[in-house]
Amino acid sequence: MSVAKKSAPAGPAPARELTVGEVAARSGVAVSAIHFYESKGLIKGWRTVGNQRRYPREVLRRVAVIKVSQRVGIPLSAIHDALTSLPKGRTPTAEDWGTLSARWRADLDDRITRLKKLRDDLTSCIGCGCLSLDSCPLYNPGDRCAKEGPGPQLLDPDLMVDSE
Amino acid sequence: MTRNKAKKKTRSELTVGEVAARSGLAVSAIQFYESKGLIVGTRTAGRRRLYGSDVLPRVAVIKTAQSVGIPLSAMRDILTLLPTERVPSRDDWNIFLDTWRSDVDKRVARLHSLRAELLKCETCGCLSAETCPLLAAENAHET
Repeated sequence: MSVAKKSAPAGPAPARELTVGEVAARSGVAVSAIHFYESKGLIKGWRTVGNQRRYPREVLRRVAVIKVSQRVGIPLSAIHDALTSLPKGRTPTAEDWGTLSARWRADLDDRITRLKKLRDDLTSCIGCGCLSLDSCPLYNPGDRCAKEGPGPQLLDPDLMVDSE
Repeated sequence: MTRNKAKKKTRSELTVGEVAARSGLAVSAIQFYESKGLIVGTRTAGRRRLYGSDVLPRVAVIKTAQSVGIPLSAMRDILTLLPTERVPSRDDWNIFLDTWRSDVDKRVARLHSLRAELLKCETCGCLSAETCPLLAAENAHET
């Protein structure tokens, strides 16, 4: 799997490199998204003497990985980290994708588990129906449960994630 | 809309610092929630922010939602079921919780189907933005 080299501009086969419009058309991704991916370091291209962007054909594979990953809710920053962690920043091979995909599946499983727990908590909450600011651990994070630390205790505060 | 009148702090009202301390969140987070319309406060004559005690369950809900990856934008929609101009009643809360629960159910179902898709993609391994049926469906969905 060779990556097109920037340092080999001499007579590249026309089909080996793509304009941003071609990448967009072939991958079904908007031109603006291609630019965005590039600005975030997720894909790399080069410029012609006329300052037009060109991309290696392998960029399509990379875009596919990015799109599928995004579709399952993986933030771009995590996709970026995963892609740059590949040796020499190579375009993911089938094996690389298998590894990444397994990681994303574990991530999905984790989200599913947390949502299911929340669902169960909400069910018991509705079933309880106390809706009391004095006794409900979900509603009353600061008082009765203060000894266990601030925040909702019914739902595991350790699961807090940075939403930024 | 008496709650929106500038006034003095009453015993049951909380300052932003008190909300932060009791919810375990940073003051900046409380301010952020308010800027996003997730919680509603009032102002004293001295321009201090004050919140009704029902802000605590609201904040707990928001914090909990964030912890499981539910976007704030989704919570804003569901939180509109809780009145801000008066203290939410038991019925208000039940309707809210019921709606939130069905939203969570939908999220779980969606994640399950995404997981199945991902597994399919992993098995197929074509990794082609041109031919991938999943991406074609995604692109069609977007347009």
